[in-house]
Amino acid sequence: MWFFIARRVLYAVPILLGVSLVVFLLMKMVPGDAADILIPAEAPKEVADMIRARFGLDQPIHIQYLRWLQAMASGDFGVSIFTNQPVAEELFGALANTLKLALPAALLGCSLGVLLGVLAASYSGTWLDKLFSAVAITGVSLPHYWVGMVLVAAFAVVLNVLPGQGMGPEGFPWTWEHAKHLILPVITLSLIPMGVVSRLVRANVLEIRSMEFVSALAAKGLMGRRVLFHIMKNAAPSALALVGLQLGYLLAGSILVETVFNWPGSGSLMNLAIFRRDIPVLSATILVLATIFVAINILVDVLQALIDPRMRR
Amino acid sequence: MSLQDTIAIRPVAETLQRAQAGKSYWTRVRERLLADPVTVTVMALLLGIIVMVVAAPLIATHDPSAASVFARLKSPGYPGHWLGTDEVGRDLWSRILYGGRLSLLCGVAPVALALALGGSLGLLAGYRGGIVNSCIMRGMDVLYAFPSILLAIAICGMLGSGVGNTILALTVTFIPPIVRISETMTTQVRSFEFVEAARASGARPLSIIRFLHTRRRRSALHRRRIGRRQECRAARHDAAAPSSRYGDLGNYHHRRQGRDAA
Repeated sequence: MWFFIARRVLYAVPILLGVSLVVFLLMKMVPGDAADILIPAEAPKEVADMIRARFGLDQPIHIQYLRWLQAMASGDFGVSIFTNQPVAEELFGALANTLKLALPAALLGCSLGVLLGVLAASYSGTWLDKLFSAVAITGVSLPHYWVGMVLVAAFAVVLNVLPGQGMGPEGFPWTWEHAKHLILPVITLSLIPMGVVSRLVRANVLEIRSMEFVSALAAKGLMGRRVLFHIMKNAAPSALALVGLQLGYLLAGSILVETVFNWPGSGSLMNLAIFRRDIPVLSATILVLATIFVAINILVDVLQALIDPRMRR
Repeated sequence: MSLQDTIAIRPVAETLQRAQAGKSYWTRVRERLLADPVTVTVMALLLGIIVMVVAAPLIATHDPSAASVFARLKSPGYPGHWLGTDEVGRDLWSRILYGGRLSLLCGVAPVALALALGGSLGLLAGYRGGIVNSCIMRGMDVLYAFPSILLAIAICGMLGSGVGNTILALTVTFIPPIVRISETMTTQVRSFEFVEAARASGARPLSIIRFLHTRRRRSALHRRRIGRRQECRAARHDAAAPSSRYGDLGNYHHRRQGRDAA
């Protein structure tokens, strides 16, 4: 098991290097470099060269990449062109805000998804199954920014019971004042994980239930509840993989929902950075989010291997 | 391919053959299609959209970019603008028609490009194997490390907006899964005996690849269909269900092909 974890983590190293290379090359493909923005057009050439040399922009590209990688790895994400603040501070503040949305949304979406999926599988073929399938497909098909707008229009504008904008007072969401700002965006974000997970769980449970070991368990007189436990344990690894992917998508893809709800998370940060052409902020955000995605995938692989020893290859 | 499978398949295949005897290929296609009302409805809808978009200059009532201060923010049903106008008074019906051209282009072009590029890369990786395979497939692993929307944001956000960059971003996002499928299929088919026979008879690599390509094309087509479906998400979403109907169909074809080849 430890060997498996070590190998899985080691395998992530070249992937992360590749990810950093992609981000770096994209940065270099941006027309103009940081010096062009800092240096006024009428500045003498010597001054421009001096500034370029100070930022290391006169070096060959592979040296620039290694320097940039070193800075990124040591947590120095550079300085925002627009606000002149260190990128790291802005980024981690925004990431914390995104987590406040993404974690409850993933939790709600996946638990609802598992519940709906198991219920649909147990009542497969009846109207209940069709109803749950319809709910799941609707949840997946509706664009979530549109759902967000409709929810804001309904609950914030017409009914005026829940706030539709921002995340309320500073601090950790423990009180009702914080929690009510969470309700609408979390519901919006949880729809897609709910739909996807419930479809997968339903299909998995149906497939596993028709296997011979389940008939054997029932034949030896195991209670329905205990049989369901065994089915769930077999269905868990693939569902886990999907949950991990969905959590990654929630973290990285919340840009639209965060814009709708004016939520100061990493999606809004990226949105602002794109409009301001703030390349340091944008590249650092993308790099960190991709790294988190890789980390989530490793975690999912390890969890899968814990549940199902066959996966410890 | 075991003996039981062959025996189990044969009666079905024979019945099929008898039912289809004396009818041309397209007659059979039409019969099968008409038996599936959902597909027919969706096809009619898509066809309608395509016709509308292509004929945009003929059926548009206004210039899509002509603004008017007097006709701002009119609701649908306003005389002269039957779908109303936007905040600067541009006719919405005309804007939908012309906007649809762009949406259709951004939907079709990336899929076609990704299929061509990803298919070739996967074919190359599967056929050559070894170090070429490792390079291409590890490169795809790197692209897989980005959640798809993040990759698109990275490309469009850094390089700027515009149709060209949008198509580029979507193409790069679609390539990895296509490469994976095409690589797997090529590797599978490559080990068939007919390939070995072709190589022994002195066929050049390119003509062998052409053979492999026809064998493999069907699964790539399935992938494209599923890709489209995920993209519009308008119809049904059962990509999460591992045993979708397309998957079964593909399996059946490959089994049959395997038998034909042996």
